[in-house]
Parts: sequence; structure tokens; C-alpha cells
Amino acid sequence: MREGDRAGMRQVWTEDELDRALAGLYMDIETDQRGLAGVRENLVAAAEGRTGPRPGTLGTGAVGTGEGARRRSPVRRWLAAAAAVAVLAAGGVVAQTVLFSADTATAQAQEALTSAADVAARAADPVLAAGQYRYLATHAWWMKTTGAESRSFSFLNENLVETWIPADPGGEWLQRRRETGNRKWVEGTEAEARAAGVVIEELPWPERRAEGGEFVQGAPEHGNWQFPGPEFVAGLPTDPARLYERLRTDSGGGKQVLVYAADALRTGLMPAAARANLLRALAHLPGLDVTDGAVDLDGNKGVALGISEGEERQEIILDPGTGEVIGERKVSDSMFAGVPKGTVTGYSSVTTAVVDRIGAPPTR
Amino acid sequence: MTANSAEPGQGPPLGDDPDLSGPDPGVVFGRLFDDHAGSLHAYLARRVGDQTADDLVSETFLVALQRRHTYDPTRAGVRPWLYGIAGNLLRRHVRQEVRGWQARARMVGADRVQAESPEVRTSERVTAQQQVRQLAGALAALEPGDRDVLLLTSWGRLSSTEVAQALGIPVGTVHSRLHRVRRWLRSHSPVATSGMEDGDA
Repeated sequence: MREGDRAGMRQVWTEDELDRALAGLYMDIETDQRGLAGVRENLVAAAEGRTGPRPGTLGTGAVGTGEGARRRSPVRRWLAAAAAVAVLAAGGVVAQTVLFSADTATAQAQEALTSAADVAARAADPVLAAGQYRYLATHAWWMKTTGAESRSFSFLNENLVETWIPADPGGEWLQRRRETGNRKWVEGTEAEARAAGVVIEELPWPERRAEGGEFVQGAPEHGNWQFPGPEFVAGLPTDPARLYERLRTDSGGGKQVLVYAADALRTGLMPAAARANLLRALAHLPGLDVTDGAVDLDGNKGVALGISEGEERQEIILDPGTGEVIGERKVSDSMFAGVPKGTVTGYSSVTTAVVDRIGAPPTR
Repeated sequence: MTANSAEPGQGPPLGDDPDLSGPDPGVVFGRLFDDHAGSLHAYLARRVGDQTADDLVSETFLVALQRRHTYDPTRAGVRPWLYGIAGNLLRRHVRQEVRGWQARARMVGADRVQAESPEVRTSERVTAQQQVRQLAGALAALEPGDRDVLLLTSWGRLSSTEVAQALGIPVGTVHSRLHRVRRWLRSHSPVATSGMEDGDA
């Protein structure tokens, strides 16, 4: 479609449309349950104390052509499942999604957070004169996967998201987003992708304006971690342990705690004291560790605090000099489909300034 | 799909909170399987494909068998308990799932070609397919925990209380996550960014 059409396009689905698409996606994916009969036999055999598959199932699916030949034989599946169960039982991890070795962040992480919090607490919040705007620029390198018939290509695609926040946060905000055309290739190269016929182009994003920064409809009236207005911040516990509990309850715990804290810090809406408290609260996050002492996000240097979960490590990057969170990063935590362990699968850095007009660039 | 090829039930269903520690586990687990394996498999296959779903169903019931003495019917129904075990096992396949959604989202390109012909351009079916695939692209971008809550609710047909039991999180968290993720999907699915299809509508 043309760019002009895009601006007029409805950008939000109704609840019904979402439900229809979810149901449609469910119907869209065909499944094949022929393998279940063998699974049941093995289960009943195991329940009755007979080990391994019953002789009668040995031939099923092990030899064949066409559709059936694609499937793994019940015997191999049984062995794989039995091995997996043995591992799970030995570790005792089945009931727990994530295993933590400690019940707080590591000593190193606690130290980094506490000293950053001390600096943050002393920092003066920028004072805006009437008519001035707080300018927030996020350089985000988000993974984009695209593909031709036979293979896929992935690259980190740079997005620049600029937000202008008025002195009175209830006034009109402006947000502009563009894809810069800067790419870092993770899987394949640009030449290979173009040779395979992949079209790589920057997408246009419409400018957004909204009272009170409510760019997405239906934000909770009293704010949340993604939109921490004054009322929300005033309602947060000041005791770090209780603040952590609140964060854990709201986010669901684990890696999400870090994601939610970073969401709040990134908005630029949290006053210095609240930022400091939030950093102290993170010291209670089990499994949080200093994962990289010297990160360089396009020239912004800091210390990475991270937590591993679901084959990925989520990190926030702190500037020890100012106590500010200057960015976030995701790092692959296991080898998967050609993306080696340790690969950065996304990062963003944030800079702020005060400007005199909405839409005006910062002067440096 | 041949859902009825798993052996038919050999007795009445076990109900929501059966005693799994009884003297005849072969019979009990056979029935448990008949009651729940089909729907569990359908749910898992739509997330990670048939073959992985076969393995996951197998592992789920073997884990359940091994842990049957720790199952407490007063704390959780048997269905959320099974979905909870399966969900933990599913975590090992997060990337596979994300790639599946991304691949599905890219299939929009094929629709775009079809839509060039006048008779299908106006067809609602094409629009619906595009919505479905835009949604797939947006699902790929969700945090795994958010995707669990959404799909256990929408596809697994678990209640909020059951989702909370399955994931071991407070029911209030289920409500707030579901609210947040649905709001995000409603505004982001139409402009899902994983692939080339983004500007297409």
C-alpha cells in the first residue's frame, strides 16, 4: 500500500477483531495426532512398571514412506522422553520455571546497584521552564527477521524513537519514529539476502501526538510501570524490599522484573528519589548479576546487570557516574539455529535533553 | 487431523481433581491421557509443531506419572497441573516457537500476490488471513510469559484461576498480564514488524 493510505489506516483492532484473529490463527494451523496412540501405550506401560515400549509398538512408524516416514518412530520418541524425564527428575526442576541459586542479586550486583542508587538519589531532576520540553531519544537495535523461500536472514535494525514531553506531563506529547537504515547482520549478509530476492526497506511510521503521552489507547488512568505518572509514583512503596515485592507481583517475577523496571526508568518520568529506590529494589532480584563490566552502546559506556531466563539474558546498562539507566540489551544464552551463544540479539540506548519547542532537536 | 486415533476412553472421565496415587496407575493414567492428551497436544502442536508436541505430551505424562504422589487436588485442578508441566517443558522450545510465528507472518507475501486479482481482492477471507498472519508476527514479539497467559486462555480455554495454577502466579497477575498483552496486540498486530509484510494491508 502507499504511504498516504497508511496514515489513514486504522491502527488498532477491537477486542472482537483480536479474538477473531486468535481463533483464525488456531484454525489456520493443521495438526496431526496420529503419534498419540504410541505415546499412550508407552505411558500405560510405564505406569504398570513395564519399562520401555511394548513390543507391539516397535514397528509403528519406524519404517514407511510418505507422510508417516517424516515422523520419528515411537521408540526413539520414548527414549528421548525418558531421557528428558531422567534429567528433570534428577534436577528436580519440573515445578519451577526458573531456578535461582540465591534469594537475592549477587553481592557484585548489589554493590553496583547501591552505589548507582546513591548517585541517582543526589542527582537533580532537570527543571523545565513553562513551554519547555523534555526530549528523549532512544536508539533501538531491534532484531528483524525476513526471508526467502529456503532460508531466513536476521539483522539488527536501528530505530530512532524521539519523544517530546511537555513541562506539564498532562499536555500534548509528540513521538516520532524512523528506521535509520543502519543494519547489523546476525544471520547471513545483506548481499546474500538481496541475491536471494529479499526486499529490505525502511518502513514509514506516522508521527504520533497524544495528551498525557497516551499514545496507545486504554492506558490505566492512574499509570503503571510502562507509564509511571506522578500518581503512580506516589503510590509506590519507598522501602526497597516492599518495592521489589510490588514489582514482582505486577510483572510476574524473574526477568520480567528487570523489563518492568527498565520500562519505568526509560520513560524519563521517574523523579530522582524514585529512580534510586527502584535500583535498590532490584538488589532483591534473585539471579541478577553483573554480566559485563564495560558495555559500549554506540559510545555510551556502562555496567550491565543481567538475568538469564528462557535461553536469553536480559540486561540493563547503568552509568555508574550518574546512576542513570542508559540502555538495555538482550544476549543469546544458548546456541540455537545458527545464532551462537553470546550474540547480542537486541539493544537500545537512551539519551535525554531539554529543548525549547515541541519537535525541536536538542542543541549540544 | 485425526484426533480420534488415540485410543478411546475405557471408562468414565476422571473429573477435575482425581486421586492419582491409587493402586492401579496404569488404568488411572490411561484415562487421564484419554481425557486430556488430545486437547493438550492440539495446544502444543499449534505452538511448536506436531513432532515436538508428540514429545512434549509424552514427557508431560511421564513427569506427571513420576510426580503423581505430589499432586494435590485441593490446590490445583488436574488440567492446569498438566498444562503447567507442559509449559515448563515448552520453555526449551521458545526460539523454535518464535521462529515459527515469524515464518507464518512472512507468508503474508503470498497473499499479496493473490490479492492482485480483482475477485479475491475484495474477498473477506484474504483480509482475515492477513489479520491472522499479522497476529502471528506480533505473537513472535511477546515475552514468553505473556504468550503463555494469552494462549492458555485463548487456545487452552483455561480460566484465569487455572492459568494462575498452571503458571504458579497470582490470579491478579494473570488478569493484569492478559489486559496488558491484549491491549498491546490490538495496537501492534496491525503493524507487526517481523517481516516484509508490514506496510501491507
